[in-house]
Amino acid sequence: MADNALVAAMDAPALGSGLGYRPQFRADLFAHRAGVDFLEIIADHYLDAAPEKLDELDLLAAHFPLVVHGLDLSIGGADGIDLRYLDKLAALIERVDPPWWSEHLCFTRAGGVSIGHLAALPYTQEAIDAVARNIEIVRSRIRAPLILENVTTVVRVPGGEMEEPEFLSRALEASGCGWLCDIANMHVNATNFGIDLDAAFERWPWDRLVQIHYAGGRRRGDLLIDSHDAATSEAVWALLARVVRRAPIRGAILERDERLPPFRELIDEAARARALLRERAP
Amino acid sequence: MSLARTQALLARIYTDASLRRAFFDAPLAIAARFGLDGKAAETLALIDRREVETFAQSLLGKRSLDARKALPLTARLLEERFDALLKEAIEGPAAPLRRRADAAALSQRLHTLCAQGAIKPAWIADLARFELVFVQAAHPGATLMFRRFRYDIAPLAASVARGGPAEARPRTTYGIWARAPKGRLRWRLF
Repeated sequence: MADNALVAAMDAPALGSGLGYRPQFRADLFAHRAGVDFLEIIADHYLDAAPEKLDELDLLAAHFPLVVHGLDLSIGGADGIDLRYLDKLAALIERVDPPWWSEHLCFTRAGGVSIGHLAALPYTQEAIDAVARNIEIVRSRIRAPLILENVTTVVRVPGGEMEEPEFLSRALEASGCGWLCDIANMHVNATNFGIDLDAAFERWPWDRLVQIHYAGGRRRGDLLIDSHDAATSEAVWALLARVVRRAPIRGAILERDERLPPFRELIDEAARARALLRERAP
Repeated sequence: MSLARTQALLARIYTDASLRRAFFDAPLAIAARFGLDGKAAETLALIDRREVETFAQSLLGKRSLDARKALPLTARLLEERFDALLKEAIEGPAAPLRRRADAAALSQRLHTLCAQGAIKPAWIADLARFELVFVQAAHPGATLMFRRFRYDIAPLAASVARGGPAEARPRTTYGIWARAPKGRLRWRLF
């Protein structure tokens, strides 16, 4: 079943170049529909949602292909999956019926505490086993293919047995998932921890690539922060171009959460990504 | 089992400032309290304090961004004071339904400060409570809520939303918010 899910995600129709949906630009989005091929919605914004919010979801689904992006499943949590949260997520995904959906390779809860954001896993076999166990449970409730996203690491958990590319590759292999490659997260981790992305490029699991995220960040002190509040940097564009040349991509999503610019700038970024995707297309 | 205990301790030191200080003062003792054996405790003790502090501050920053989205008019008026007041209002790990809980905590903090005359303008607590009701009502179940405000809250909210003057006159105002199961929210001030 895991292999079937991977094949289904990688064989899904190419969705093109889209945006992570944010309600603040809803009116502009409908005024510029031709500039957006598809949308990614944040699952957590529609769980326990009021009818007005679900109306918004139905409106989006009537005009754009949608994929679903989860934030708080805690797929690497050793405590297991919160089944009540999973039930709500499963209901949402059934309602949207996306070609695939995504979550982060991280943990967000442990010991009864909600961390409130994406916390990096230790790069260990024990963590990979936890991910694979949890995904088996998730698959018993959600049939749509799940793809996993590499995250920004702020805290390197000691005791790692491998580096990030190998950890991600082995987690995807153990779980049978495709990959949502967040280009900005790769760039942020490489910049902050002095990783040579060129040298390590072939170690990433390009054979499992399904979707791309790209975004801009900003410097805070000597750290680069994945803040989604600035235009995509030229370094990220260059990496995206290299990734596009390396492997087929079913869709690329621009993530912008804060300091939203005039909508035209988002459309221009989506157009630039679309042009890159088309360069590869046969 | 070691992973579960490690993650439980990490979740606490990321979200609880006092536990974080205690851990970096005596990492092996705190790790042992969380059930980590000698080797796992020694490994976790190698964690970089600066990285942990950076992550902990980023979590607070994220809570502030979310609270600003929950109470946008209040945030606009409080400007840079918003973050400091929120930090005073929230302590430790986030409660379930974090966005709603943090907004409620800040609203309560503003109410206390206004009652003490410790913050101006005095109607800022009413504005936060007015915004909070909509956050609390944003769920699919049946809702029936009543609120009493000391100020004429509707013109104030409308003016601030338009970018107009932030002025409110004292006038006791009552509000009712109602939603039938799976129905639309209806509300009225009088």
